[in-house]
Amino acid sequence: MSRSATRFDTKKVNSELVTLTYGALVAQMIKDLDNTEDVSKQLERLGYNMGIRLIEDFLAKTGTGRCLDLKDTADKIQTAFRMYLGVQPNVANWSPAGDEFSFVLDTNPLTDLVELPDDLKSLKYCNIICGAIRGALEMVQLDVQSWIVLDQLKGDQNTEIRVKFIRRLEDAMPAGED
Amino acid sequence: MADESLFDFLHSEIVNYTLESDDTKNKEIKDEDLSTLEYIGFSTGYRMIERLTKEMPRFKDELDTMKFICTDFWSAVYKKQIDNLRTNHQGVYVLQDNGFRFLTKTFQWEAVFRCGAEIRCLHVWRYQR
Repeated sequence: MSRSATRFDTKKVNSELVTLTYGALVAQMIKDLDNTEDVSKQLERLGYNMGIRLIEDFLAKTGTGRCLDLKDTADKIQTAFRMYLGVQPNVANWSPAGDEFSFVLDTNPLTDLVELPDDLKSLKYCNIICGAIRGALEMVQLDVQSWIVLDQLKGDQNTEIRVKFIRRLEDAMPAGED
Repeated sequence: MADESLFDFLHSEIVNYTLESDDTKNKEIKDEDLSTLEYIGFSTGYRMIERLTKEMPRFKDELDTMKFICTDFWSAVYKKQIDNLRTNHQGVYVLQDNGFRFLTKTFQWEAVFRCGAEIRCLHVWRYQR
């Protein structure tokens, strides 16, 4: 039983599969948990778990080396957005101290077919991305905070995710070793 | 394409989440109930099919539907076609996949659970059409 290659556009199907699966997961979480705050936290945690694996996948596929500074890090994350979500965010709104910046997304495949109902207006639907950024960077010894500033699902022009560098993490040696 | 690995990771996290939430709730799962994982698979499969087949004419019969699932749908989602389709011509179909996408990289018992969820989602869909 074999027909010629699938008639569907693979890239579009992949993207929709991620969108619909994520949507079904969020819907399930909302049923399970009592309030949107908990759901948002859970999504961030989920993103964190994915991030710690995505970074390995990213490093394996790109063979990229150590980043020189935060700007370099931002560029690499931009590449990762392109690789995994198929979108290119703009890196913008650098703080004067150079320790905070934003990713600005005009389109977001995770929210393509999504509308937030009125009673879920406080839900941070894209928190999985914030968690993924935090998890991935923790694996390369950077402690960061990541949060959603603007959200297209709530009527904003675009989606803005802000990242703030907290500190470098040192590998902790087990007790008794030098 | 890197996109595939994103879906694999997302899938792992979904399984993780449903197992954790089932543990904490200690639900009694009756045979007829869809488990959380199956339900997520079901609603995703339902919407996927809606979108994939909206331009297509209606299927002639059950067998035609199953062939579509085994070739186009399976290729789109699992990157390969079904290896073997068998039927007793009385409504029971057995789909055999020798390299099921989500099992090739896992070794734990949850893998069996996942497999069942995905197959179940397609099965339920079929009866809805």
